[in-house]
Amino acid sequence: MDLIDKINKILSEIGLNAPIIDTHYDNQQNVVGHITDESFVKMSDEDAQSLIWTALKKNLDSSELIKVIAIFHETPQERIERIQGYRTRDIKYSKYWYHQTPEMTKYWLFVDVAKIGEVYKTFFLIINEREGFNKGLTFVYEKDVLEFMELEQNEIHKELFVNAFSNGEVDIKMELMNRYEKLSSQNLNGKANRYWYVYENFKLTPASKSQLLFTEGEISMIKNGLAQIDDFEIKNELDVAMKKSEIFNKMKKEIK
Amino acid sequence: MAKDFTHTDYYSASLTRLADLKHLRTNKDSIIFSTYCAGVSIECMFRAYIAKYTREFDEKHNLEKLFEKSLLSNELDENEKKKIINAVKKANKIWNNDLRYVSEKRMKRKIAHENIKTEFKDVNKYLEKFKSEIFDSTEFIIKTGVSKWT
Repeated sequence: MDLIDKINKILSEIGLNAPIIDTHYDNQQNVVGHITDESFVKMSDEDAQSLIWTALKKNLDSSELIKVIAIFHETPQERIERIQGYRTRDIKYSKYWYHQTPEMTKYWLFVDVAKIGEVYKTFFLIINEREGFNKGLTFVYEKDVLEFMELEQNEIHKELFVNAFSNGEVDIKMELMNRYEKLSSQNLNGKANRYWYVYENFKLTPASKSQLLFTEGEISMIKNGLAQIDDFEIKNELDVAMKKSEIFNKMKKEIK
Repeated sequence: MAKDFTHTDYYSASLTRLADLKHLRTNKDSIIFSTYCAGVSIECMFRAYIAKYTREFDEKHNLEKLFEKSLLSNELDENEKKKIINAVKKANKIWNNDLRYVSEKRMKRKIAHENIKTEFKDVNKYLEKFKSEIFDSTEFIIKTGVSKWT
């Protein structure tokens, strides 16, 4: 077996959830690369590297091991920052975003910022009914954190919103990159891979309130997500949109 | 790689930047430029190895890529590799060439957003944690580079 295939196989069996393994030979035929997985978010760098090198040492002989220059571990967010870099963002302040995939599945992203008591909280929720994907996170910015950030009152909302949006966007991109990787493993590379665009021109589209029409499955996922968050304004707005969607869905059935 | 720079130029520059860094660190208000200086010191060390061993051209400033191209890793055992990979990863995450244009406010906001996602909640230690990540990594990388330099 080729060394790189052997390394990829070893790395795919170290007990991570859904690793993306991206390795290649350098000009001297050494192996370099990255392994991306959500598990690294909660793992120390030291533990992550130990996991990698313990497996490599156990399964490679010394002549092979010496050829491994570096396998960098990274979280999904770090992967996206590495591949696409930091950019100055010009984000529109919509709370509602969607992205339709080439397979016609739809990701919804909802973002909001609220002052709750003495703290600011940000929240995002992502759902994709057909993929069965949902993820929601809330971040809390205590008063001392906001002071540390030297945020003026009129800057707080924008600063926290952009960060919450970026976190949500990263998670959607990561999902799509996983799809790219799955197709890559079937030898569909470059533009032959229908998810190629994620690396080139991925974008989320802002939705107006009138565009918020959800299927029954989406409504159920949104309700579950919202049940776990504080009283953000978006909750009421989505409630209205879901009620409107329920009426719309019912009418559609009756027409049939 | 600038064609007139030799491996010894880069190697000396790395150590000089490290000395500059030590001086900058005595001023607590110079966090941006000391972080920038730390990254340049690492970059120079990797470029010294590249100039000496492979002479592969790379106009970018990505520390992970420069580390890979330097082949410094070939001189290390697995334990040393683990440590230097983590040091390079930490330094690379913090340092980039655009730091030249970053305000202290912007850097503090970035640090805060990063920490909000972690279990680390002590805001009074945000900067200390940040400094120890970049400066400890720098010292370790330069020390390793020096110890393997022949």
